[in-house]
Amino acid sequence: MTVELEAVLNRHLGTQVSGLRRLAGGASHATWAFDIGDRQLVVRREVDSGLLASDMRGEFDLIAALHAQGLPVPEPVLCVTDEARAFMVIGRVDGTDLRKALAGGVERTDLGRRAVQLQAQVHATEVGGLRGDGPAGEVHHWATVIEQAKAPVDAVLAAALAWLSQHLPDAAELTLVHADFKANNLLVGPGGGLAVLDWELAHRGDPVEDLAWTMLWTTRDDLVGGLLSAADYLAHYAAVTGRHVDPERLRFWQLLAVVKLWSIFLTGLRADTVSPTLLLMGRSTVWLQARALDLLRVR
Amino acid sequence: MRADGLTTLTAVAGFLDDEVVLAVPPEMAGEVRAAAKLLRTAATELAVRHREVAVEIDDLLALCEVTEPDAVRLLRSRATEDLAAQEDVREQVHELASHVMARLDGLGLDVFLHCLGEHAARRQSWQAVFPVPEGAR
Repeated sequence: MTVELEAVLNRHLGTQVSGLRRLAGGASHATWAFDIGDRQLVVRREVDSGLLASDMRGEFDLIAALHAQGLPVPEPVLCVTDEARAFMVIGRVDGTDLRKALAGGVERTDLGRRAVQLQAQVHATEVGGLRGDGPAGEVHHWATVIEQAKAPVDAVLAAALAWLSQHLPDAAELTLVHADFKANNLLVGPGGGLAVLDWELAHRGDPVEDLAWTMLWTTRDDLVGGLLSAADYLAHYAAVTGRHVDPERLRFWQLLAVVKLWSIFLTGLRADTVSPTLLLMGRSTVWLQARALDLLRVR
Repeated sequence: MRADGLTTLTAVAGFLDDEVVLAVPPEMAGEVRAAAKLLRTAATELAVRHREVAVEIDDLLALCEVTEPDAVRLLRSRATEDLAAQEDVREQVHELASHVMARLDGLGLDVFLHCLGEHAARRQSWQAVFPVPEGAR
């Protein structure tokens, strides 16, 4: 595969690339690093067993628009959609992941607050041409993904979907939401600045949807539960944006976040190629069951 | 070293972690570690699975019996000690419970949610992606 990918890159970039090496994969793509002279680049390419429907062109155009507005995202270089598997070439961001940055002594609360400021900056950024259906559309989207996964009926998941359909929040101001804003999509640069990667799930939506997804991830190295408590996270977001989060709206989007992740994990169990990582995720739906029940039983 | 099923799963997990992960290309190391975790959680699950799933089936059928006595009677007749067949029955019970829950709200629904919460809590150590709550280990 390396030889084939190198040939494709050489052809489209019009030069000889070097140092092509595989990096970690994502839900719907594989990522490789390579160099052209001193220039350090990354190629993200669709995979056959992707968990999510990929829109490589849409994601690339979004990154280009954000980069042009000065947001800390990878530099866009090239997007190709007429090969067997679409791919994009972007600049390699100089930085380390949050876990390594924290091990190196970066202060947790300060890093957490800067991450919140960055998330708020994303929500304040105007970008055209993105899909955005609001709460009903999001529920329908992920319910459809679950149906297509053809998994056995789970009573908790069915109850969660029913609750979401019956408790749609009022229409809110729609903004750009990253929709996967969490620690492993953030890099800390040499000067301490943060960059945001992986925009494949981004769309126009309720900013509380974005907050709820971030709040789903709560290990010691995550933004919420690790760098900031949930209360501090929401308080700092309110201080930066003036948006005070309604608890019932948050509860809706937190349950939607659980359903969204559940649907992604179920899709992984359908993949034609056995992947221990995808199997591991599929077995973790019991944790999502427990989290969904916590949210359903709130009074 | 014993060679029973559960010990074997754990031993192979150790082999993957200690030997294989060092011998594969770096981009495959994550999958090997994931495979080791899978084997360990499978051993944890299999040690208690038959008993736990039987309890889950009984709990949900008891809740469904008032409104769906015939369906419950049929599913009870399928009780089995075969693990694969038992999982099929559990899936059918979940389908029935979903059907019943869809017609409920308030306290009636809460009883089901509480029951399902107990089941989910006892399964937390069967997964290795999210932190396992204390007391569920």
